[in-house]
Amino acid sequence: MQEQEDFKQLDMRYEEAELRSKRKNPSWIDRAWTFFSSVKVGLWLIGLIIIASGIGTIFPQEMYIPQATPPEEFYQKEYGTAGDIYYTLGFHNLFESWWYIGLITLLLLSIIIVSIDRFFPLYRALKKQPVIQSDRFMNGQRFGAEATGDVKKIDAIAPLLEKKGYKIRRQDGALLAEKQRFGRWGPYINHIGLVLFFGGAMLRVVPGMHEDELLWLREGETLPIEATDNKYYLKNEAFNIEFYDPEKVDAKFKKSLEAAGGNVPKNYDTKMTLYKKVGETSDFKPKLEEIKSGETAVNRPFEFDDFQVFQEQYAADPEFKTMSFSIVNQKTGKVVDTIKVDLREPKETYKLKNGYDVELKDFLPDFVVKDGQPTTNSGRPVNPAFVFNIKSPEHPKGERSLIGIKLNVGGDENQYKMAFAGTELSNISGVRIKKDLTLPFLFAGGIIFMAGLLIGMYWPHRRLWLREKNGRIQIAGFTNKNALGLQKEANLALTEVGLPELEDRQKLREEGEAK
Amino acid sequence: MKKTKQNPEERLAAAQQKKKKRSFWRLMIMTMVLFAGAVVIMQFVDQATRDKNGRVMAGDDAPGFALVDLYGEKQHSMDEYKGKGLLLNFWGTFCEPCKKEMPLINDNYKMMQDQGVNFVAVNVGETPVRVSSFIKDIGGTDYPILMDTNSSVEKAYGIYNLPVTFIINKKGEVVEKYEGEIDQAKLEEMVKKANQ
Repeated sequence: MQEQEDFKQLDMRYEEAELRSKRKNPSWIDRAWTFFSSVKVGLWLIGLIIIASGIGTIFPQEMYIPQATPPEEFYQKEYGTAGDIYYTLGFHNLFESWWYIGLITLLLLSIIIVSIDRFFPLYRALKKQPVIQSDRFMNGQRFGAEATGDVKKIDAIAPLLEKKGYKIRRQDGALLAEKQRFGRWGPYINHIGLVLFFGGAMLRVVPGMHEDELLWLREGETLPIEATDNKYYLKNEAFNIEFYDPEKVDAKFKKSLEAAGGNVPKNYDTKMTLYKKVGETSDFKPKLEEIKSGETAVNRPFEFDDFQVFQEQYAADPEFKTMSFSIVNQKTGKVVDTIKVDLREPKETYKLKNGYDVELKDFLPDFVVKDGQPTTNSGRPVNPAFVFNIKSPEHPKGERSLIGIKLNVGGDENQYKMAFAGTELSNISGVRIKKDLTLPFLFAGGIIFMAGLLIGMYWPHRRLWLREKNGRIQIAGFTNKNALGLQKEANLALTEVGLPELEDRQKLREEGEAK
Repeated sequence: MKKTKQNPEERLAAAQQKKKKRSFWRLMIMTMVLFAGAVVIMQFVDQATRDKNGRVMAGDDAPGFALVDLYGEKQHSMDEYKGKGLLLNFWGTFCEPCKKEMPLINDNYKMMQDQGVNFVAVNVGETPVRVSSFIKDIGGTDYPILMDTNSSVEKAYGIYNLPVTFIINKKGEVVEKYEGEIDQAKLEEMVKKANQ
């Protein structure tokens, strides 16, 4: 019992090795290093970040508030004084504010320094462990026992421990059994994961790592993708949309479908082709080379290089794409020919057979009359109107008329008129083009972090020392986690060879103090 | 641990050497992490001063363009105006103030050229049929009318209202973004600013 009263537990975290920062630090570099090597500082930083992040979720971030009202008014109007303070302190844009990023940077620094500061002493201590330890060491362990016996007992226990997965080292009869040493690296692995994760998140600001663009594409239209520096072009081959038919669904859904009013889309997708710009034609148009085609539906992106194209939106109303007209001889009622005008690329002249020509003198996509003059309200083909000049053998100079939807000015007295002969519509698809090269870092960081956490939690580093001295056998045990597990494992082997079970000296001392 | 015998001076020198090396690495690590953090903060601060909807504002670098004129004769690009002041105007045939300012600009075009400032007018994605009919109506222009057929330049500059004129200086920076009809006084002011 004498021995147990003297028991003073050794600090086994780094095997008594000195921490790098605990040395004398005269220079400011070392002083800064020492400051960040403190776990307490790291915990403070984590605490501050958690509190700031928590406050940041009280009111919505700036990107989620309605765009109509400016943010300085929105927070005040919506949340009163609290909202005003929130905005003034910059919580409305917390995750991009200089002090939040600053805190994350300091935490990163702390994690890196703490890891380096502890890695080297631990590595050295674990690398060259002596098999024979001193009395002070043996008696300083939390678990231990002593009994009479000889080296044969130690020889006998070695295979038993080996079967339990311990690695055995022997020297002059003494034994060191060690298991799951790698578990000690768990916290460092998890720090590497954290550094990767935060580093990845910071990489987002590096140009080219992250792109996000919304592109509106009419059916049949080919547009450059700005996110690729206009190196790639995307063509909308066809847009397809299906609606729920209230007659064909369950009665309970029918009600809500009718309540939603109008059409509720069931599915929509875009067939598209990707082109790469390989040069320019002589009339300055891009020379395109087809790369691939495919389709994109909601949540099923179309992919190329590091980009993903998601179906995001569509325009509620389709747009006029083409309009066809017949040239009719009003005297005979005969149709001379038919032309089709592409509203996005109308031609100036349409050559017809038998010496007939139609000239398009003007095209007003959004027809309106202002101050007695026909003009257009916008550039979108909402209400198209055309000024045609029909050249015929009878009228080589041509006959003019203004044609639109339910509109025919000056056409009645002409010999030839343009008669509306049908239209084609095109849907407009809104696709989101995204690129995020930081994701692999975030995934890898997250996985490494979890792996480190699991290793640190479930792989206890267990060690047993046995040595014979003057006819007595000294036993000592150490584990960094799950003390009962070590006792159970060791005791089974110890009793089998006739040695006493491990005592928990710490518990004995506490009980002794209690008395 | 017992190495070859060293005299005390040698040992002291070796220890100092080691310490120096350690201090160097410590400083390197701290500097690198803090530098990375500072870069991220500066990027975010930079982004905050820019417009959230991608509109080009005063102080930004003017995005490049390469557009063909109305008659398909020549390609005009940002690069050829570098080193000279440039007034980059966006307009549409449906915009009344655009129609009003165009003759005024045309009358002053030679004066601007003489002072070393260029003027180009980018049409916002209308059809050549419409634009040429419109230009014929107003009697033609001496300055180039560029056709932004697929609206990519319009998108790059984030155009919402017409007319809008960007005053771009010799270094290719936007000095001012002016929304609205240009009058004689404003035009002269613009030329001065573009030349600075």
